[in-house]
Amino acid sequence: MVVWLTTAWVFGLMGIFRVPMNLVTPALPVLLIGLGSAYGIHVVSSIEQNRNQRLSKIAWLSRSTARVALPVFMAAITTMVGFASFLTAKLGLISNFGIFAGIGVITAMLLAYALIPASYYLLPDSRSQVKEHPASLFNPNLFDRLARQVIKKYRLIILLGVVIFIFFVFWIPAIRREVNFTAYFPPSSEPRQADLIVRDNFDGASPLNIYFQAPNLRTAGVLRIMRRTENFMASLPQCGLPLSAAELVEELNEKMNDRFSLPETDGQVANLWFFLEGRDELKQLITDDFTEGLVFSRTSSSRTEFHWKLRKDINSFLKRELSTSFKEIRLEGLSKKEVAEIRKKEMAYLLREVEWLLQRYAPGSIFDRKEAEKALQEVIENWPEVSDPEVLAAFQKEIEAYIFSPSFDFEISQKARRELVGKLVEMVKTGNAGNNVLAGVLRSAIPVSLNNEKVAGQVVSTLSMRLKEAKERVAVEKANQKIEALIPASARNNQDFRRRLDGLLFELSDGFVVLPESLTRDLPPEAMSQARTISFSRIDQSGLPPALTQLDHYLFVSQLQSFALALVLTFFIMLLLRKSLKLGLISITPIVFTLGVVYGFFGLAGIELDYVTMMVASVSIGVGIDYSIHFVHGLMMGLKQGLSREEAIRAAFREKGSAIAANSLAVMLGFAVLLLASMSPLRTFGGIMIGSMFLAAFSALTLLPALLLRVKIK
Amino acid sequence: MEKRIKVLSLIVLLAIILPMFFILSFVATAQDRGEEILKKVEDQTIGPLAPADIQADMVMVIRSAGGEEKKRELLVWTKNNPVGDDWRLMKFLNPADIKDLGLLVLGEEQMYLYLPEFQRIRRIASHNKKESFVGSDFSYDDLGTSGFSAFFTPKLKSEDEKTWVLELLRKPGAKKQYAKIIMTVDKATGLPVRLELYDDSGELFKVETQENSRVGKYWIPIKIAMENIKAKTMTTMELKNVKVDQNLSAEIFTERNLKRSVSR
Repeated sequence: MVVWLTTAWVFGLMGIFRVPMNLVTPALPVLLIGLGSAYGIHVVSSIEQNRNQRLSKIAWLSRSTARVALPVFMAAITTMVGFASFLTAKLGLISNFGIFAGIGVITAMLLAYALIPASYYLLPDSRSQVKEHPASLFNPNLFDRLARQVIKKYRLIILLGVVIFIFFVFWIPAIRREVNFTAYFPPSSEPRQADLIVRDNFDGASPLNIYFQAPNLRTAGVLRIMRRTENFMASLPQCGLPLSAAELVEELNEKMNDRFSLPETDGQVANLWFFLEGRDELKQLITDDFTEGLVFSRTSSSRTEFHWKLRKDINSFLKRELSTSFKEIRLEGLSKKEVAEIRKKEMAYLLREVEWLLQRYAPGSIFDRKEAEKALQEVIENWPEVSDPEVLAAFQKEIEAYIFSPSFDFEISQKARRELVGKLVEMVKTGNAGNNVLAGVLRSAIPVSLNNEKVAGQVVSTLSMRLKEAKERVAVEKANQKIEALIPASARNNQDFRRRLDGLLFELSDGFVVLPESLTRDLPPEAMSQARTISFSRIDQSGLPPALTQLDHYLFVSQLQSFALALVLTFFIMLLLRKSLKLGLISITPIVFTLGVVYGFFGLAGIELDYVTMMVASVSIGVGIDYSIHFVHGLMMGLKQGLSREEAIRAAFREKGSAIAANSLAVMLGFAVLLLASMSPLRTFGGIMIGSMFLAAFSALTLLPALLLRVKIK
Repeated sequence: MEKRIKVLSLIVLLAIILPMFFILSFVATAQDRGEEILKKVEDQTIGPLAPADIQADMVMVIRSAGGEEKKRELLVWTKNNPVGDDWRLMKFLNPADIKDLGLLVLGEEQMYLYLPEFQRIRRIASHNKKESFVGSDFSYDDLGTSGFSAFFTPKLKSEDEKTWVLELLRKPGAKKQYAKIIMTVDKATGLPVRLELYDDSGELFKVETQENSRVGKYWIPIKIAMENIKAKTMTTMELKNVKVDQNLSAEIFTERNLKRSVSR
């Protein structure tokens, strides 16, 4: 009755306060049933043992209840303290569990004090049927025998206890923490199977993001920084290919302009963005006002250890690369020497991205970065000129496609078009390719009647752009040829790697450079005077791995805090109530022993500490201390009656042994129910608690009396 | 007795066949009526009763699910092509980062985009036509000019005093993104006022509403709103300064002109 009422009231309270049920809640009724029955057992046991026909019914019941009032009270308070220690947990579900378990404990205690004697009072008086030996689950002789053995061999018991304790404590550092929700499901369950499929075929299901916040992420400069972050994330092991708005712009640029690279002006980005607007995937990568964006990836591993490494690596990258502001530099108008100097810095900066890409596309391979730098420096120092044959050939191809197309701005004959192409190529061959020169050539080829300054200006602008693109294309080809041999074969033959490498080389060849501020300090002042600064309001990692590692951190901190708090508070309560430091320390010895063995077993057996099993310490302290309390109480009662220490211990065994054993059996059976739970952490928790309760009761009936014999107590 | 059975059998047979005949003829009538009404609509929009050409300023407002609005301003030219698909040219004025960006539609499979910052014209592939136009709720397909009858089979669903309601079912093999369209046609103007667009799974995908206004002797859709039911977004396109029958030159609808810079 105590048990059912306690459970019903606690869950009713949860309903009133709208506290939701969660993974840990199924352990609550089990716990309350075990504890409620434990208090009931002690009260009933006391009543049965003190049957006295000479007293009135009320006197008999009140005296019997009074005998166990203090130990039951102490047991309840220490148990409640054990649960109260959960309030330090950062996880709401653990602290909620602690609150309601604590309420349940106090309710069970009060109900045990009130309901059981009241029920006995209402029942017919059966004291005339006093049995010589009150009903007991265990044979009382068993505890007499146990008492004799403990008294006889107390030194051996203490020695064995110390050896076993040291052995298991040695294994505690081997405990691994793990917060892996998918592992909670049975292997054949749908969530687990689905997770396996996603991991094996789709780079995993755990999202991993780097979040950016800035006044405007939709600029050429910012997108390059996001792309760099993407390439870094591509190098992370067991992570999928990342995606960001930068990647989408690169893809579009490839479709429109045959180059998988980011454009060099904000206007070009805006033009390409025209096609991205309204696409569903864009909404997942950047906000409508372009102030917040993600570089998104997934990880296939759900191991906590792996997640910690990932978090550390990403934090290190963020600190090293993104905790600074950046400079956007335009190369137009700078001297060749200045351009070469800036390009060399950019080259070294971009080569780091090549290294990251190679970690993905050719893992374990060696890339000679110094040689690559040397090779590309050579390209930079011998940058293609407009008059180079390859540039001319590429330029001619481009302008033929343009001038001979029906959309050419001037409607002139085929012959006139051919002549125009020829003149342009000849002029550029001489090294003269300025806009004025091109305009002059155009004017000479177009009939006066068709000539229109505005249209001519547009044509010249297009020709100039095509020439620039031709130069860039040739520069990329040369750079590719130079570093081809340095790229591992597996990457070289990978189309995706090739287009990304080309993209980086196109960026090296265009007129726009983005570098961290620290790399620009010794650049030409003329270049820096016009440079624009990029800075971010915030850059953070987010997603499941950082969340789970933070959860793991809370787990560890909460574990230590609740364990320390429970132990210390329990000790102080014992100290306060028994007014003896020695007795206080000895009283908590069985539970310290139990926890040392249990946690050592975790390390030895490879049982992982997760946010369910972390409750073992506090629950064990709170529940397991009850056995010590009752035994010590029995001993003190005996000592008060003038018995010797040995006699008092025998009396405690007789009076409390059966109740302690029944108590621990009730609690163990309560936790045994969790062995049938469908979630593995609950099964583990149930199994561990069974062992813990057995050890706590066993050490309360062996180690505790042995210590009480060894140490002088007043 | 035998004669009576024969007469009864004849009556039963007629009782079965006659209603079927009436139902079939009703269906046939509904389809004929549907075709007739759709032809009326297309005559007004892309056929002989449509303006030879239209030139107008357009304001496009794209409203997100959260209520934020983006505004685009364009210039639009349309030329009626009695023997083929109508021609349409759209050039953006605002916002500044897409000024002079242009879309040229010369037919079902002929759509061109001009990117001023790259100074390149790109042809749009037909599989892209389902994609959103400038982030609006209109797809490229929605902005096409080819009418409905080539791709949908119409049937009169219902009518009242003021409107006809047609059900247009996509023809097998037709490359259109809507499996079904319920078109409400205003009897007074002969133009659609509402189109319910259904996707392949039969779910209502978008609703287009039109406000039609008199410009000269024609009824023209002055305001078109497209609402995406699932995404809860809406785009409105409003025409201003509408001019019709300006005898617009075919030269306007060329790739060459697509590249030209524009201003009001």
